[in-house]
Amino acid sequence: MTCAELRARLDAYARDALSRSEASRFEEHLNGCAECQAFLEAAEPRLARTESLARQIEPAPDLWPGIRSRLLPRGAGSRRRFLVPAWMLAAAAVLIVAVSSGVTFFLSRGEGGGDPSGPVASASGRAAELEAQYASAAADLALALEAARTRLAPATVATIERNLAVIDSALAESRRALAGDPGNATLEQLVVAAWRQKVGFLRRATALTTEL
Amino acid sequence: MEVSTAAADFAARPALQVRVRRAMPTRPMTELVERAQAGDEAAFEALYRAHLGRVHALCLRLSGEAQAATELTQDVFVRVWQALPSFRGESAFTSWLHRVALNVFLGQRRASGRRERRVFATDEPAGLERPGESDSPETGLDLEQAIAGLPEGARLVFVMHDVEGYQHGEIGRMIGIAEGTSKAQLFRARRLLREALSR
Repeated sequence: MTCAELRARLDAYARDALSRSEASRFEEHLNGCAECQAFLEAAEPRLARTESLARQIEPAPDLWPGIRSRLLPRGAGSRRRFLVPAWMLAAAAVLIVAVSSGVTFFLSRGEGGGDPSGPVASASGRAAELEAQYASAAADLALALEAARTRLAPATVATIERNLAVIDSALAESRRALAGDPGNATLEQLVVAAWRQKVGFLRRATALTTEL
Repeated sequence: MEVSTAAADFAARPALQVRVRRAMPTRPMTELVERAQAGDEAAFEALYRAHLGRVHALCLRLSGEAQAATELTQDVFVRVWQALPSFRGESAFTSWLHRVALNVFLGQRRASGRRERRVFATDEPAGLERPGESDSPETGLDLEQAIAGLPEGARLVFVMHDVEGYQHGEIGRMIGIAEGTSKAQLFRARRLLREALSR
């Protein structure tokens, strides 16, 4: 898709009127085109009225009783910590690249349309279950890492973020591929593998902070 | 952002069933956090009451549904209790809390496997299809309704970027999409909102 073609399709994209593959090409072009990104920002700048949004909105019912009943005593869900040397981060990055390459191989065999941010609707029940478990674990680990990031050297933080970006890219790529080829068991496994890599990497990065 | 006028109008909307009040900090936040980290439920309840309004506002905008926002808010505070020992105070507690809320929402979103769809924060969706026809067009209420009517992906990026202040790169990493896709979704959200608000 060219810049002119993208700009001619802005309205259709906004209204979700493009085909899945066309919307995918729209986003792919945008990902690599700074000029079109700036064009979009200028075409639809931030709404001034966003400032008028309320900072606080309280729910009608008191949620505390329900929350309190779900609080476990401190330590009930604690995880074992792993002390892993820094070189394992590099090893994890190599594995991640391998996963990314695998997804790219599958993409190269056919069109990878679909919304990469969308759900893996075609995943088998087991794959979906695994994905949910990994997503939950990744969220927990990301929180722990976020809380400890200031104790890491800037270069280490940059390395972690760079590798996480690679993992997330691989994950988005595999999910996009699966959306374009529903029911492909191998792609389902790649999605799960990407999640496994993300959780593994986050666990190692979090463990690194405990060594300091 | 203002708390008073827009919030009051939003609260006065019966279908949304929400009310608004200011947070009531009763003691130094760091002391409360430290006590809650040690397992003090009373301190955690004080933290909950101080931050409930902001967390629920975020959950309401992320989910686009009042009932879902209530459940999400509960889940967030349960997760906060679980994760508090990992909070070391290097970042502001409020920032960390919002990050927890986002991660809980994103985790549930992935787990539920929902396709992008339009959702409404009311039992009267027809009333939200033309938000600009509200009785109070100059308040933030119309915008709240319009946000609730956005497609899920566009709403998520809009809330994270324009309301919460995250950058596209960070949004992309958290959601698992490319940075350009985040920008495209923000464009879609802003355009749909402008159209909804100008009707």
